[in-house]
Amino acid sequence: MNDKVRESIKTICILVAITIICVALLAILNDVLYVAPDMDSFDRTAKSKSGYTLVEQNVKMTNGIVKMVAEGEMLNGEAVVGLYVEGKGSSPAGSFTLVVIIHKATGEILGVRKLVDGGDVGYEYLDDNLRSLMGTVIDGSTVFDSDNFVVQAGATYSTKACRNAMQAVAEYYYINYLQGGQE
Amino acid sequence: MDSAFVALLLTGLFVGNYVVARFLGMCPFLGLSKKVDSAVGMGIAVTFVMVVASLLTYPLYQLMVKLGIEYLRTIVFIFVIASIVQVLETVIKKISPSLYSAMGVYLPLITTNCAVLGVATLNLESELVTGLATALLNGLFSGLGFTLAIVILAGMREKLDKQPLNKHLKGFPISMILAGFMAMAFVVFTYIKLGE
Amino acid sequence: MKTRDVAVNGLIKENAVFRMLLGLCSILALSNKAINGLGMGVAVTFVLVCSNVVISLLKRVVPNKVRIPCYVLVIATFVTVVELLIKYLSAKSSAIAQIGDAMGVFLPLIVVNCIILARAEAFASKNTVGASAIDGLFVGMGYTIGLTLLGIVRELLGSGSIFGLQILGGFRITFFSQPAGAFITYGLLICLFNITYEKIEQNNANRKRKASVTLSNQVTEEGAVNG
Repeated sequence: MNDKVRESIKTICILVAITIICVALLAILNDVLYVAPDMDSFDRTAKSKSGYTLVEQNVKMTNGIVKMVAEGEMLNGEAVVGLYVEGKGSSPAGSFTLVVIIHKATGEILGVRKLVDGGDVGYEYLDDNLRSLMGTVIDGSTVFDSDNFVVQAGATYSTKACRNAMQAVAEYYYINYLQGGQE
Repeated sequence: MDSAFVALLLTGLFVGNYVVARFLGMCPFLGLSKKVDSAVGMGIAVTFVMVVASLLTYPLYQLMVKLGIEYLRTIVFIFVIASIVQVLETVIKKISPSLYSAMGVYLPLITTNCAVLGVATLNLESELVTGLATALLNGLFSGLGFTLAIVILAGMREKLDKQPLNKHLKGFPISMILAGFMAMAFVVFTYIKLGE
Repeated sequence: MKTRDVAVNGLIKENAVFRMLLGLCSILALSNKAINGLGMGVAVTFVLVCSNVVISLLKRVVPNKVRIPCYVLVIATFVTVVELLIKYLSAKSSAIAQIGDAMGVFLPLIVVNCIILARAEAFASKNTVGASAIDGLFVGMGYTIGLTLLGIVRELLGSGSIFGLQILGGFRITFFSQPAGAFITYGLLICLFNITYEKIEQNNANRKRKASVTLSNQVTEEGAVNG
């Protein structure tokens, strides 16, 4: 009996020890592989729509319909606006869903991440093109007219859907932050 | 609530069926789907564990976020599920031996069934899950969807086993192809549009 | 344990994708594109090698009764390491972010991937650290190759491209990118693999029978070639 008790105590100790080592290892790694909070929350919100408040739906754009423009807050809501946009192009392209982060005060685009490219499989708007949008400062509602937007040859439908989404972003920011600020 | 209920119901059972649309819970899907009876038993056991797992893991994760230890999610979830299965096994054995004999053999297999860990993880990401109640419903309907799929496949395989068949196709390959046809049939449900 | 045996075993004889039929969920879900299959394969191989090494190290320490919870704990730890790594790298490279997004829920689900627990129980808990590492590597490679192969077939037919590179012009059958296509392609590929495997086995057996009649040094040569 005594041996049995000692045996089980030993078993439990080993189990606890392994657990502690594993958790400690992960805690250290979690610190080492720390991702800056803005990118972290950006990634998390990019994966789910939760955290956003729906502000407008079915915004008619000059180039089609943008299904949803929603706003969420990042960096404690002080500096950045996160937008979840679903743009539509002309047939046969489907919707194009983006998360865009804009600096609230300056209007600079800090981040663009593609969630869904509903365009034809194999003809998708490239990430490098999307990334080239970063750094653009939204100073009017028509920043993304055709001269200012990389049209990707062979993926024109996706390009169009993406541009519609970006235009909605610009329009949204312009109406709510630029105009609103001036009044 | 009503529309959310319908959305969860349709997604769990058809549109986002765990087996044919999301590829979750494949091992028991093929291993135990030779007889309709055992498929039903497995389905019920999995559904039950999925509901309990949803109920426990969802609030637990909220607590972990508050403590800043989200990175331990996978470890915590797998142990919660393993504990649920262990407790269930003991409880069912005590309370109802007849239920145990029907469902007991499937219980140990559930710990490594990815549909259960899948529902715990997907509850945190799904846009339909907004609270504990919706998490519970998601667990229930996803489990029922799983059951639906394995029971249908088991029915088809029972018939197919009696047919003469090329020996290279027999068994696993033909089950895969059958599952493929099922997935094709389930595509129909993606035309269901909710709202708008 | 000979390295060559371990290699042949992991890559061909007990290939996780085509022979053992383990880890089906991720095989079916991540084979829609070759790059996703490759990414998942690398992630699983990493977990497999690490957990095999640690479990082999612990084989004398861990009491038999609680060995499975211990294995799961070790595996879950390394899966979390992969999750953290991918999150970290996603912030730096959008290519990795895309693969990470495609893996989605299947990344934490590596924990319940039967391959890893099976290797822990069948190999790592009985063999030396070095052998376990090699076993993990080859089984992982077998899984990666199988998954990537399936991914290549599905991507080629479903999107007309391989690793994102358009090669079939506009030709594609979207069916193969969809769940139904996953099941059917996988079923047919296993069937094909079984036929090929059987043929090779038969050939080997025939050769061995012939070789045993001729000189013995030829036998060893043939054996090396066949391997």
